Amino acid sequence: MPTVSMTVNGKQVSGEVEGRTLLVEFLRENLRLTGTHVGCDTSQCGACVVHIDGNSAKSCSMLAIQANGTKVTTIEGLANGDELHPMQAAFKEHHGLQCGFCTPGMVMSAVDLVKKKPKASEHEIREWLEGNICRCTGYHNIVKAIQHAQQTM
Amino acid sequence: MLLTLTVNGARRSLDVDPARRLSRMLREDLGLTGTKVGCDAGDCGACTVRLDGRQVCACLVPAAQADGATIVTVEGLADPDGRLSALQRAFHRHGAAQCGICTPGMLMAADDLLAVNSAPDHQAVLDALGGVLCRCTGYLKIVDAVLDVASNAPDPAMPEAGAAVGARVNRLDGHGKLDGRELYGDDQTPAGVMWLRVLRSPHPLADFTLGDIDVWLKITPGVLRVLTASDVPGHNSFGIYPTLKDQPVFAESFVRYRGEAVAGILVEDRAAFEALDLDGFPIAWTPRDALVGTEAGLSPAAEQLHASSPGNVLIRGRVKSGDVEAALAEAAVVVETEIDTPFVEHAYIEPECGWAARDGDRVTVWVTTQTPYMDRDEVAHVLGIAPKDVRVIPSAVGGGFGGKLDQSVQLPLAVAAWVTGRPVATLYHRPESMASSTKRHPARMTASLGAAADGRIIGFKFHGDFDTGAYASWGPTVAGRVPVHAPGPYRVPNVLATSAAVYTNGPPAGAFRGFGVPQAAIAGEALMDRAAERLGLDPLAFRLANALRAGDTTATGQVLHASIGLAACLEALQPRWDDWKPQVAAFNATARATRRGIGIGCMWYGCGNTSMSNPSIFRLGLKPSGRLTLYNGATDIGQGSYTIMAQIAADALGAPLERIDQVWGDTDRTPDAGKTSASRQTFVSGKAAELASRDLRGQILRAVNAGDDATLSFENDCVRVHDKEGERVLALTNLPVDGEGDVLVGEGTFDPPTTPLDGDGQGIPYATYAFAAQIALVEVDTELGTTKVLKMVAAHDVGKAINPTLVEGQIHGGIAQGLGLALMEEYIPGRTENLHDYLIPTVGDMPEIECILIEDPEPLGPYGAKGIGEPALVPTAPAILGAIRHATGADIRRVPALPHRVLAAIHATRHIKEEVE
Ligand code: FES
Ligand code: FES
Ligand code: FES
Ligand code: FES
Repeated sequence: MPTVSMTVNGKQVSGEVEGRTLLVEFLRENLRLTGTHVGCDTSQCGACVVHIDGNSAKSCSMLAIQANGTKVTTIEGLANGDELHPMQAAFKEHHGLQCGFCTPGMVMSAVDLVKKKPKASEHEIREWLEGNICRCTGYHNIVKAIQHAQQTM
Repeated sequence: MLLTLTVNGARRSLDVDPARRLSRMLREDLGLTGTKVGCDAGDCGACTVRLDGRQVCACLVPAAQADGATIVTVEGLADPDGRLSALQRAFHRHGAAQCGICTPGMLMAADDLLAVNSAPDHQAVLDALGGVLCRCTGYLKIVDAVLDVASNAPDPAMPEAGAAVGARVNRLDGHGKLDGRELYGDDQTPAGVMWLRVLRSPHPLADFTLGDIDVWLKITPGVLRVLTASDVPGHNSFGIYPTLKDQPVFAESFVRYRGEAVAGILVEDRAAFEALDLDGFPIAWTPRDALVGTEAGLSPAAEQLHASSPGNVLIRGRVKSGDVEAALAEAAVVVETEIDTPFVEHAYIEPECGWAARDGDRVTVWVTTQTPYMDRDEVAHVLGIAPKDVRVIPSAVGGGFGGKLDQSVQLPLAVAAWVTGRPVATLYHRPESMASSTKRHPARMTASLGAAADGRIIGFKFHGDFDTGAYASWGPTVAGRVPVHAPGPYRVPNVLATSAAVYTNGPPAGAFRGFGVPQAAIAGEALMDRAAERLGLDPLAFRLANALRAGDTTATGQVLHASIGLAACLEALQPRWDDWKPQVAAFNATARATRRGIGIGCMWYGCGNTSMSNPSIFRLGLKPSGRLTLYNGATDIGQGSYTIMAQIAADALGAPLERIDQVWGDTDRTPDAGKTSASRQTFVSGKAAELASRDLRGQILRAVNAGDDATLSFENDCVRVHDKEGERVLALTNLPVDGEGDVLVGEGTFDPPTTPLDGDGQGIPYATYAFAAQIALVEVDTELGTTKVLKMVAAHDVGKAINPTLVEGQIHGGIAQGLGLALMEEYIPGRTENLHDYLIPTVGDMPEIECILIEDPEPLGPYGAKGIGEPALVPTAPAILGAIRHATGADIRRVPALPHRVLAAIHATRHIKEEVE
């Protein structure tokens, strides 16, 4: 079985995986980082979004071996100790979540957006979130949260 | 990552990206191109191999997963001495491989099954093969082959001289399709060539401006050059008809459909091709409101998509005889209908691919194609060079069905090779193939039929608007063929049948098995059923009473003289039909939610181009070695022209089939045998092959001064000629040879006699027609709306079955596609651009099929033969839809009959009943 090693949330980790092991499986099962969710396993819902070398990616749709040697950030790695990341704080303040299942993926996608396009318009925010499905909120407060985080990030 | 694995018994170690697809590793790194790739998404199963014994889709297995594993591919099935395995031989004798692109996957799936179950039952075979798609065979011969492996029956013997026509000869090109050695479009790309990716429009109608390409080239690794419209050296336009070259190779400033080619991006190698990300390509789009459907295209407010076609009408077709309005007014019974059909995708399992190279002032294109000679002329037009300076060499073709009658990779490849001077290859991935290629025309049809009280049809009126999409392609062919065929294979004294091909912003609709006739038959045959019902007649009896017969005149004024086997087809079906009726009644008397029904569809189909010259030329050469070479330009796309032409040539010469070698479809070496379309190859090219063969025979006989009745025996340096005067010997080794090394060459040309149609569609559009009738037995779940076709019986008048196994294969495959048209297939741009959202029949969808071959010889055809390719599909959907109606009363006016539509139609009948009550 191949060995993979990567930096996850700042820590060097490694493990033996099957070739077909998905990155999300490695994160959740080997590393017990269950903040990253699986809503579909087929690249539709975005619940599994993490950052690979700073870019958002659906971790259900890549293999663990493809992340070998990269820097991975999951939702658990976003806050600074007890202090929420500005995007997390914005979601909290603007009621950008209800059940919270989509939230880790939403937050990770949103952080990537604000980094890449700090001045994204509302339309661009909504377009960016097309790969993230939320069944609770109607998206409205998610967009508001992200607009707020554009000021605070 | 360093991998070690066992492949086909040999230990292999290689250093690969651990996430590389196993399919690519096998094909590209290990050279095992027997494993095919049809979708790269786990949908088609063409890539099936055995991994540690179990069948897997190699396209979904990361290389790392194969570390330490044992892999068996199709190349590992045959014995080391090359003798085919029992499984492969069963496929061969059953004719289970047509184009052969699915065959490796089928074999490996079956091999997995047989390893654990040496005597599987029918259901076990269906389960094992359920993940592998075949678009050609209709699966039945594949299933039969797997069930017959254990018998280990011997291969059929090659026929003796003079006995090839009519024999169930194994495909002469079958071996390579079974052992993985056949070279399809993506199996023969040399190393070191550039690769080309086409940038396509994501919008159905949009203006665009290109940004700074030079800057993009600098910041994008691996990209060599970008080709756009201004790089096209000759004409940036192509199209089937010389006067209708309305489609650009690369769009200029705006696009007319989603999937249209905008630019060609050249990269250094295949790895760069696969890694290429076009997201940052400098192009700005301004989408406009697209015209979706013929109603939008015809609306007075619609924008005009092509300058030469006001009102977006590309062309109209019309056939008029008698006075239809008067006939309908006096008819005892008049029935009417309106039917809508969708875009349908060819879904050949092999996507478009090929490569091209320039050599001085000539260019050569290797490509998967149905029409090498048209490709040659189109490339010449686009490059602005003479056709003689273009050579097209077809690869083995992994399915076509009309879709590979159009240009795809040929033109961008030729432009790239020409302007850079370097060889270049490309391959469309599945979504690109589906978005960019042509489709079956959606049709919106209205029709009415009037019959007299005694059951004679007296009038038929039809109009169909055919959505030809963004470009003309074969639209004029469809618009011309439909009005001729719309009245069906019946005596109808008063006809008005019209058609229009309408430009829209859909994908270009082109040639697809039947050229619009399958759509028209759905409307016409529905009316036949309803008229029969109103007259209180049995649907089969009503058709038989009105069937065309010798001496009848068609709506185009053509008097039919011979080979009109519809009545014979119907008579052959009658006993089955009579058996089914009480069975269905008994079933329906007890069943609740499921109901059964039977239906019938008839068709006729003109073989060859409509009122146009479409000659084929064949040559048969004799070598000093006493072997024969057939220069066969009739492209074999799986239907079997490689085998059929040789069978005909062998008998016409009086030589044993095994004496014939072939040079196949190379525009430099084989004369023009036209296109593999319009069910013309057996009829037209077959006749040319017969004439070439007779010409050679005549030359041999004259050389030794022998009479016509002489027999020939071919030996290794001479031909011995026997007639009543004894034996004479034609020595071959001292005769001069030509450029191909032949000492004698026979040539034959055949062009079926037709005449142009006048403004009322009067004339002789085709020299002969195929006839057929099929009956279907279906079961409909009236709660779910699902339909299962249980049985079909297909009776086809083929004139003469040159090779009955291949004819049956066409019927099975045609029925599979007809079933897809009736029940499941609907192409929606942007929505069903892959093989999991676009459904085609799997092995589990197929009914039992019985084929009945009627041989009412066509005097013009080779040994009486005519075409079967398209006729096989035409009657199927009408028979199935009629059976659904018989089962439930549901009148399906929009195909496919998806479950929700069937349910809605069933509910509509209940409403009607309630209102009546
Ligand atoms: S779990 Fe990855 S996109 Fe849904
Ligand atoms: S908050 Fe529940 S799915 Fe988004
Ligand atoms: S190529 Fe693997 S399933 Fe189609
Ligand atoms: S023979 Fe199966 S796809 Fe052609």
